[in-house]
Amino acid sequence: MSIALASTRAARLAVALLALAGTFAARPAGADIGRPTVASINLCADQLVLTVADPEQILTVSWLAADPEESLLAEQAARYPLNYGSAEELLRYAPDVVIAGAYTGAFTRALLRRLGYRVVELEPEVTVADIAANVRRVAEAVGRPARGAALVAALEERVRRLEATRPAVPVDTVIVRPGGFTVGRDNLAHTLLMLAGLRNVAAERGLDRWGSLSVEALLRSDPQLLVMTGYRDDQPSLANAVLRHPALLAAARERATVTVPAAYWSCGLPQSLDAVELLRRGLP
Amino acid sequence: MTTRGVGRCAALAVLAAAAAAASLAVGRSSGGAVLGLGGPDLAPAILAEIRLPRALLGLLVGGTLGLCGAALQGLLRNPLAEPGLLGASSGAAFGAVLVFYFGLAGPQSLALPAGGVAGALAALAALYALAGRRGDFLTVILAGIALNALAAALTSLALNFAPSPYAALEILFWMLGSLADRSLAHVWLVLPLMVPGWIMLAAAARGLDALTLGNETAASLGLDPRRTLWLVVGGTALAVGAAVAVTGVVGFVGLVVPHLLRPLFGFRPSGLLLPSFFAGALLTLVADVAIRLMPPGPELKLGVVTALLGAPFFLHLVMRPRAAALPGD
Amino acid sequence: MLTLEDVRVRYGAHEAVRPCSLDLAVGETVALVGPNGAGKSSLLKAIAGLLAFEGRVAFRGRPLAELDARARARTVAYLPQARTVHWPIAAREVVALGRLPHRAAGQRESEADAAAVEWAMRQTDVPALAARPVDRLSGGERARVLLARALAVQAPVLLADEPVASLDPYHQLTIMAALADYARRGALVVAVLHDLSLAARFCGRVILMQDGRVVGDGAPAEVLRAEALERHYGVEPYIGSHEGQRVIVPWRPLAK
Repeated sequence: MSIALASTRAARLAVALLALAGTFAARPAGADIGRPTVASINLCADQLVLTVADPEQILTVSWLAADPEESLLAEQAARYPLNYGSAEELLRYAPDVVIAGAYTGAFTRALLRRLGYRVVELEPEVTVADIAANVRRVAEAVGRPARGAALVAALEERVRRLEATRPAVPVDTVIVRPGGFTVGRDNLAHTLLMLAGLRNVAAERGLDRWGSLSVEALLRSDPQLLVMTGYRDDQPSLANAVLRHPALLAAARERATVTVPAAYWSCGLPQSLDAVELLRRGLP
Repeated sequence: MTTRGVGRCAALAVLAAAAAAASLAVGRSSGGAVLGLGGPDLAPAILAEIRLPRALLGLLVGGTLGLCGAALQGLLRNPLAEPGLLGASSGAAFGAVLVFYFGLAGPQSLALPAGGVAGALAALAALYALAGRRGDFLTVILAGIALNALAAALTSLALNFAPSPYAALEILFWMLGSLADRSLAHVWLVLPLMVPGWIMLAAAARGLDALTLGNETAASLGLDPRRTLWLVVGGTALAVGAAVAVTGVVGFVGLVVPHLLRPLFGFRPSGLLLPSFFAGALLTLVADVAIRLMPPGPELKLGVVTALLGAPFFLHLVMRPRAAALPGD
Repeated sequence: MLTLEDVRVRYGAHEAVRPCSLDLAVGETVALVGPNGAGKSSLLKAIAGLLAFEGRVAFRGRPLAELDARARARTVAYLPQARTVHWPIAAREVVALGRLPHRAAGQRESEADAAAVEWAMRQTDVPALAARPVDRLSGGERARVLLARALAVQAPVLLADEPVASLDPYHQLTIMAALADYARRGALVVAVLHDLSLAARFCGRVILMQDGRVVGDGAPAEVLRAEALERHYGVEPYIGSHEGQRVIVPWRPLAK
């Protein structure tokens, strides 16, 4: 294409003119380990990559992955260079594969594709099957299908065990998220609630995905179990203030409560199933 | 324009070109700002595919916002007018949000801006259907404001029903405006809409001057106010709609730029159009370079920075005694 | 020659100008007089093509409706009653706007434009104000600047709605003289006036309107008679004479 040609020529000219030394050398590609190098630019993609890929393959993960409030694998992520998800950053890492979320960084994904990168996009996980599918996709992309198959097999085995031990009588439950948000159907937290043997009252009332529930509506639904899922509790916000509403606190004192950190279900990972055990421990 | 005005306009153009060059020279990596290009094997791709589109879009979008702000303030003879007023930008935002909502923003790199352009054109068509036949200013402006509110409400509604909290967050971020990681494809997408938009605005220049003396005098000078109205409204919808479709909502440029220029170029609307184009480009490019010079962290949004840069100037102008804000020559 | 044939202006059910036919000659200064709401401004706007009307207006035999917008603007200049200037631009820039019909888009001011602007500003005694922003002018000064704007068009037909309404006595006289002079040099000037002495003194022809109808048309001495003023204005006038010219002063309102 003549335009591309012209712009490349302009680029070369400008390179000569600028003649500024690079301040950042690209890391060598991971040819020595025989598998593609990988960069991920989305919190959920990061954690799947950290779970599935060989540590040698990982060039960079996004900054959120190293934040313990957001990520279950923060410690692991902190060992890698962190990126903020811009195309220019990623070019400097020259990864063979970029793993991204289907909803974040639409322009960056498109630009990386245009530049010839392989970009794998992960849909948000709602069901265990979604988690398994994304594990397989990432495993495929990083050239470790066997590792993916093993992880999926373990995941499925764990689900079978959880189902076998599910309480016979479901317990009415409401998830309380900051800002009065709760969780309906079509949501990973709902999936995990079901696995734990709980009844998601909000979903029974027709809420799909996610929505908000006033403190009053929450109390009227009279759940047996309240699942509190805090997020940056130490930072003052209106959303967190709802979690300290006197009526809610009083209700919490009268009922069984359990706290599940948001990181467990903000992304669907094999590790998310740990939340099911947390939930079961809180059963009345 | 006076000879001095031509000189000042040329100076603005040179400054805008310099800001565009700075935009080519400054990058950003995980460690913060990067001067120059990095390794020679990366340089052509970084320059041609990442920084060039960013600089070009900064110029085009900033220029469009400045130009449209000056034209709309001239049309409405009201210094509070800004390009978001007529529903084109919120229509574009809504169109883009719909693309998000239906999950079309994935592999097709142009789905999002194309949705924005469709939204802007739909808003313009609705405006014309509502107010076109009457063609009086008040009806058009009120219809524009109503459409603006409607599109904003629909956008909020779409946010409520967003497929995932991440999609909602992405929409919110996008609406704060950004030039990051746009490609040349976006430049080619916006130009066919922006250029006719600019031409329509340029064609309205004489009509805007005539409107200084009111609608009747303008009509008696052979410059039909309705024609001026639709040139400006249509031109703004095309150009701003395209801009918003690609960069999200970059606030404040269209409002503040004409104010900053009046002490230098006088109050005659036609004399402000071209300087506002260059000054809008300058402000936008400077803001976009400033974003990359910030300490390491996620990029600030462009709309936030243009407001942070523009607001102090604007307040300074507003707080000065009015007489001092008049042209000195 | 400006010819009006059955010109009629309606705002919904209200008939602002009832069908009216007039022949107005180049060289004439015509005063359009009558009480408020008589239809004077509506008639001027109809001639200027600023509102929808029935009937026909032709200049030198050619209907104005057939002219394109610019040609029409070069033929008929119009000074509205409202003295609006929306931006504080310099007085000279305001006057130069009168040259817009003579310039194509993008064209700069020609020498002829500059000469017309200078001439018009001299006619209304505003050259000293040239650089002043219009928001720093007095009401009368602004009125003169705006009249200069209308004169700068140098159109063969000049329609002026109350051109001397806010002027001091000195400028009322000089501006009326300038308008009459403009007409004498080959133009038709139609001015809406409330000062009947000025109408009598400077205008060769007076058209009196009431309720949308032309109720008097002729030389000042024929039209501006005491009975007509009593009937149509509802005032008892004082009519005197000075240096052989009529002086008309409305003296007391008549019981309705």
